Amino acid sequence: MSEKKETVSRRNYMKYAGAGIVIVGAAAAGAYYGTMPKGPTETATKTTKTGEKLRLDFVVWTWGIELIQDHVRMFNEAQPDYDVHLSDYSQEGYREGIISRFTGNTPTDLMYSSIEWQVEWQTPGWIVPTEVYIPEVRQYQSDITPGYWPGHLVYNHQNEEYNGKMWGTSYYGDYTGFWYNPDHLKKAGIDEPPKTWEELVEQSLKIKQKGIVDYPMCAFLSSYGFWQTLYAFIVGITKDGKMFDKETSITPEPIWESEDSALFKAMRFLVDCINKDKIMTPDTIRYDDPVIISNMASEAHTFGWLPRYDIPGVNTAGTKVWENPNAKGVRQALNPGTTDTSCWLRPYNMTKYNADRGEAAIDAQWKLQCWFGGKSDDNCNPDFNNGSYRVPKRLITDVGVGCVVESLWQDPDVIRAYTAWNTGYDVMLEQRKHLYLQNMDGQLTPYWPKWSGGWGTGYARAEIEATLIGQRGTSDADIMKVFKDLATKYAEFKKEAGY
Amino acid sequence: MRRDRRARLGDRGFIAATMIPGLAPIFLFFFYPVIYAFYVSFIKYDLTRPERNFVGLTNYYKVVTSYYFWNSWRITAEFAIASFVLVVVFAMLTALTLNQAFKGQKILQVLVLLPWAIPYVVGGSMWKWIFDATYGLLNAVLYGLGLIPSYQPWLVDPTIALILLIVAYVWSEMPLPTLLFLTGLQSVPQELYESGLVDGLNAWQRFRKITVTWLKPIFLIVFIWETLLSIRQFDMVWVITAGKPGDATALISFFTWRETFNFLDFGRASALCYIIVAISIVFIYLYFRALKMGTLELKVR
Repeated sequence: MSEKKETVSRRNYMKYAGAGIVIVGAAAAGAYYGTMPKGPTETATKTTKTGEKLRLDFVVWTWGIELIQDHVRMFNEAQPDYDVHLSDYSQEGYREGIISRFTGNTPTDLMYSSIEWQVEWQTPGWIVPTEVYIPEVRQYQSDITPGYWPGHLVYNHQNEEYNGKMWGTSYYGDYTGFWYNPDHLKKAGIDEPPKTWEELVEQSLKIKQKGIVDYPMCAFLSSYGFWQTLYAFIVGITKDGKMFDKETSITPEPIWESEDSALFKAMRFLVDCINKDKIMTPDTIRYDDPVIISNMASEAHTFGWLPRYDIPGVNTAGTKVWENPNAKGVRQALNPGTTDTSCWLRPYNMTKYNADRGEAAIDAQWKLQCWFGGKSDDNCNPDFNNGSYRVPKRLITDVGVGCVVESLWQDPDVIRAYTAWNTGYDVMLEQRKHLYLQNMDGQLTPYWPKWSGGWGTGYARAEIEATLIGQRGTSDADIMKVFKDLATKYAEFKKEAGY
Repeated sequence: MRRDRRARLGDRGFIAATMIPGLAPIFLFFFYPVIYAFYVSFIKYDLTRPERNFVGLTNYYKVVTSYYFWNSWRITAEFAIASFVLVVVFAMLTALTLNQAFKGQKILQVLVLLPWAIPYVVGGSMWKWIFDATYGLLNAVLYGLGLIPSYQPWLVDPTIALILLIVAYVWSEMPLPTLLFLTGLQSVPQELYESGLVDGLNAWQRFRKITVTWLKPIFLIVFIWETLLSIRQFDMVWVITAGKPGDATALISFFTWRETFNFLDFGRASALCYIIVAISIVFIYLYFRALKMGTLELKVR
């Protein structure tokens, strides 16, 4: 009798192993499905048990996170019935992070936002105007710097009742400042900064010819700064310059296909500065916040267009001008030409999730919103008449962000802070009267992000960048050809989005 | 009989149980996403819009007819061919050098491997600063030598930016092919070279007929590895140029990121990924054919 060897064929081996995996896979999928949140309404009901603290989820981007954490701590201490949970995302990945939160049904009550994202987020119904639930938010209209006011309103909402309502208070607003290095001007024998674009070119050529710097001009034309900085040239060169025919429309049409257009004039100016006169560094298309701060601080350029809030960074990195008013460092001047410049606003958005949780959660969210963007009393309760802008003010005095609250412009602490940063308080006061909220021009559509590239990259940005550095040719005809392509693609993106 | 069957079943159960811990993660984290991505490539899956409809080949069509597709493939081909050739040539030369006995050979071997220890992102950041227009080492050296009149913004010239990207990439990619070639070179039997000498082959003929033939399987691995890596290269592009100026250095893989994380269009991103995979498979097949190797068989004795 031969001894039979127990063997398992390869076929059987694979068959049983495969079956095992399928079973495990199915079990895992089942378990996963069981744990999936079923939507904001269901998760919402879990949060408000009697005797428990009411949890609020507050989402921000990381900038100034220690300060935000401190403000959250203060709120939690002053309001023992609430428990604010803070989540933060990087500024560059914020939009994607928020969309992921919403699509994943992650609880979110209140969050930082930006005007151009609101159209995208209102379409699926993720965010709602605060005014619909808290009508008294409208009181703040009287105390908002006029240039920033349009950014507080709802446009193009599919729910008609929401249009014209106020999204809420805001985190901050700021503008593209025009900055110059007074030491360079002095060395070049120039008495004062330019008031016109022609003077700017003359002064830049003089500075370059004297060998003070190779490229006197630079601008924040990378990262999230691209469109806002480009608009500083559009509205600075052409009074009321626009790229589109109707403000705040959901179907605006481009008006750049003519040599009289504001975009053409701005591009012509920039293309000449970079390619013909070589007074603006072509590397400007790579200048994001850190790069432009370090390059202005190290005096690599004389003139720069960058967010006003970056200047404390420039002067800190450089020469601590607030310790010595006669020290080197950059100074602010009004944007040349029309003196208009671009500005932006970062509003707070209340979410549909919060609204669906009911009155207690809405009230809690409103308290938090007022604490961070409005007026509160000593116990973090909303108080428009007798309260004060504690957090907005501290953001200005401690880290120098922009001010959208008209009454704060006259606050002695704010004046002292802005003066201490040497950001040109008088110039700021004047510049705030000449602001254009660039998001109103063509950016309030669902197809703007894909066509423009928004804060990241995309079709129009890449084409305009290439044109700026002469990659598409530098003649009027070359620029117009790019503009025609931009218009054609715009129509395609618009059509694809169903408009 | 019944006992035998029970024993067999017990064996099979045991086999299945022991396989599960190893294969389940592969199934969950590899096969499932791959299959799911294939499924997603046929549906409308824009994260900012609620609808999830089956759209057939629309995503593939939209990707192929998009403004970036052909241009980015052209740039990817330029990048891949140049970096591939340079990596193979330099790795081979370095391996041939390291295969000789000389003083400092050990130190050089360590130095050659160093880039391997540096992640792409870190290496990319380093190169970005080297190429910087205001503070860059490249500018400092060239300016110091009097070769340029002033510091140059290298990364805003489309051609130079791509060349510098290739330089950085080749630097980071050298170690593995060098190591593979060196291993191969050290495994070539000396008798073959001696026979070659007897047959009257000169140095070049010995290299071509003996060394290259012996290293054929390694060439195949390096060819496949380097082609795939250069096609899917993203990290260095993102860190050094971010696809700029314009889209002049945006490789095709860059657009998978853009479709996914910028446009949040998972349907198109998946379609683009599958197109890249399909093209990569074609390359692998062509390499096998070109090197006349039916199966990959690496024998190093």
